[in-house]
Amino acid sequence: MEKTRQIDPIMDLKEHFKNKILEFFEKSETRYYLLIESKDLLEFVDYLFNKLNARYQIISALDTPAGIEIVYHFALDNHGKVISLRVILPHENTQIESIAPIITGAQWIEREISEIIGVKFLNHPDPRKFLLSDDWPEGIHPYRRKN
Amino acid sequence: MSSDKKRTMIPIGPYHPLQEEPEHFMLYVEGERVVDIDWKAGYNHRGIEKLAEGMTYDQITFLVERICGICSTSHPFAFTNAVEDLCGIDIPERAKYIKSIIGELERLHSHLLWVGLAGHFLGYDTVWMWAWKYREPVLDIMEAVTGNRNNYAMMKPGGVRRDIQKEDISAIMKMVDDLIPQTDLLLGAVQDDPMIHARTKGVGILTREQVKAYGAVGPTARASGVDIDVRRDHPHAAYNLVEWKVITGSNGDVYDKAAVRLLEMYESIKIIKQCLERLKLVNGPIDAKIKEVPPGHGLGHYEAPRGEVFHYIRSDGTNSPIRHKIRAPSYVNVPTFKATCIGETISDVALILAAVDPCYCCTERMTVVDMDTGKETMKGDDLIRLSREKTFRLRK
Repeated sequence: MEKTRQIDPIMDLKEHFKNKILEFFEKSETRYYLLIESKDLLEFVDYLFNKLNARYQIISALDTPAGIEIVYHFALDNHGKVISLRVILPHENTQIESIAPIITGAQWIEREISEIIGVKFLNHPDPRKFLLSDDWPEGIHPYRRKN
Repeated sequence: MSSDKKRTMIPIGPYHPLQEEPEHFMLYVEGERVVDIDWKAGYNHRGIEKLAEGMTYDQITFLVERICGICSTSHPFAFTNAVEDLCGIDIPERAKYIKSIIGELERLHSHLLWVGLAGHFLGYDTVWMWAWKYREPVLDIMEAVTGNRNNYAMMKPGGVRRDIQKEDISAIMKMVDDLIPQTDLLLGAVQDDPMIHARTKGVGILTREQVKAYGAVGPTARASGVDIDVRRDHPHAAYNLVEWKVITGSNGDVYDKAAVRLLEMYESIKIIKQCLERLKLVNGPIDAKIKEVPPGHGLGHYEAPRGEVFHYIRSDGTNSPIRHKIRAPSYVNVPTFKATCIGETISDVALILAAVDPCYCCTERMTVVDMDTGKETMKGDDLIRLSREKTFRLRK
């Protein structure tokens, strides 16, 4: 893996996406949380994954009163930092671009999230059922909060 | 799936006499050659992420310990890292050494277990018996130090629950010293045996690019020459206080995955011995008291024997998290089969699947819904009731 220790990736990211970071939160020296808009997601993921050589870790999804929140976790192993991109989708329109065309490894978790919490991932290369059985009724998402 | 008549599907699982855990691989073969592979999950539900939302942070440590029987301390390790990250606290130095000792002892027994299984899959049962015999003293030490052979309950947010006593230090030291010639023996068996070379070299190759694309972790990634290890790259516990190195391979085949694991055992032994020496000198508390958990994000990871275990918690400032996301290493390692199995023969695939050291129970979930009414028929309480009924039946 290319060593990029000399450049500070956080500064780089802030510089590159000046106006597109809605909220920048430095939890500690090693944990960063960036709230972004869903339309900018692929640009961020592409830059992190391909330019900054971040390692894709996983995606978390939560049902919050503000909407469905999706958190994309990336590790910068050369710098000992973890960057998490946060996207909040309104309950009435829970769809977002799939990052699987950029990161093959994200296929499973996106299939899982789409089933358990009900998010539609656009342009997912393999949107079949994953954990739930094939005859699982449409529209029931076990992890979605009831109210 | 293809309508091509030449293509046959061979199911492995969901319940297979050779595998202890329910997983369902579908191997699509043309003759002997595997042309595609697919995977279906959802056969073994425990609902751990959901259960965690109803428990306190202290209770969750015990809950996540039960995710995996083999790397039972890795999940609490990562989870306590996450809670400590959320609270912004540093743990006492003595606790750091104890955490690393327990983590590395676990790596030793896990790698020995794997080496044994790999030998067994190859038909080399001598390696299997050796490896499992040498694993016993590690488990005995675990029992002496923690009270249990597995599920040690050593971790807690802020430190560890039990100290390592002075008299135990020499016993652990002797055990790991004895393990060195035994590891030499196993390494020799792998390095010198032409049959193992023939079966594993050049088989199931995972390239560096594929490691990145799939986000593979642990020995699976390191065997391909990808130099990542959470213990070194994201310093925590005692891993930046002692001398050791990250082992990498170069070819990404089954042989390198085996070699990386065996060589890692020497590093684990090095870490354990240094930590034990420091324990003789460093006194003080073994835990930091956590008074309250603030609202916000907590992210913790740890290098389990199979790769990075990842825990993310979201807190609203109460006693329980509002979301607890867990990612076990197999969740990102198993998808690499798509890259490593296609083009290989059926007999090699069994070995390639084993080479990742997959652990299926880590990520499963399930809910039961009535098809006619569309309503959930099984809730958490129902599953507990079913479980109790079965226990009573078995007791009779």
